[in-house]
Amino acid sequence: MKKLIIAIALSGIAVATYAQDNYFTRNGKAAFFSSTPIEDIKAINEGVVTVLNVTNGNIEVSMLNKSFQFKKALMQEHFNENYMESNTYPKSAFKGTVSMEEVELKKPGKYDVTVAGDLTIHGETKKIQVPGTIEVKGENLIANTVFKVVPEEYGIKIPGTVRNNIAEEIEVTIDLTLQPLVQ
Amino acid sequence: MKTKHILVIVAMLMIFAVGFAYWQYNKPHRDASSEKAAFSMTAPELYNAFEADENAALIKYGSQLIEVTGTIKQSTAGDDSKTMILLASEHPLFGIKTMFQTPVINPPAVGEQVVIRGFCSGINGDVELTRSTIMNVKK
Repeated sequence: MKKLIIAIALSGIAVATYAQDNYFTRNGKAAFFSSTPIEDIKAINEGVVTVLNVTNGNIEVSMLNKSFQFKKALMQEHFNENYMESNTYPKSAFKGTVSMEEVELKKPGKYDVTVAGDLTIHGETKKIQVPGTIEVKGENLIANTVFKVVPEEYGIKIPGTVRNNIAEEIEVTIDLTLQPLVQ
Repeated sequence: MKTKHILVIVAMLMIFAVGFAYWQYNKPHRDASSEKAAFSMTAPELYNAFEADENAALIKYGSQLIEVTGTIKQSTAGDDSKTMILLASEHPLFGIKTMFQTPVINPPAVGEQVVIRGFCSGINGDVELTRSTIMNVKK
């Protein structure tokens, strides 16, 4: 993805002409929430990087697993060392498309979109399709989606002793304020 | 009497185990302002280390407390959320992204030199430091 951004940033005239095609953020927010009768677990990552091409709808989202912050230090440690194995899999990422044909870029407002593509967590990639919204607000696009993830589907092993502490499905919320990417 | 001694020892071990588990469960997060920084370098130096060899840099700097000196390129340090200061590197777009748990009071301005400490998560465009703290502002 970095090569994509470098190519865009350095491609001179093409970028100047189509400068409004690409939107970017380096501090998008990803939060996940697990609720069980035993305990609630919540973590937030405010360093999500995203590039969205509004012409063809291509989107790339990525984040560093070690940047997820938990209230409890021990939970954060377990998340990185035991579940995500962040030293081996530093990032979680999504690459796909957003149905931008539903969005009128010149008309402020909130639009329903569909997001489809490959979600990669813990080295495993799965195809997902989820609803989302894009809000046109001034120069920015505010993107939002909420979806569920089953940890086991991404090879995340949760020991039997704590299995009841963690929900079967984890709720993931993505909030991105995207700005036009200009040189 | 031997049985009584054993019971007392077992009881003490259990109290110790429960106490230890409670302490572990509630142990505080690492603190960038009080812990000793493992590395001290400029923002371009840190960025270049990851650019040169990401895997080696991850092993060396990942989860370590790093003290970085640099020039502020972008800042949302006073904001309630997404509190961040971006330090410039030689790259036109990316640098050292330092993220804060709470808003910074009287945040330094873009263009100023700062010394920031944070825990390194790796590189994703920018090199990311979390749970950061500003050590001092150089004018």
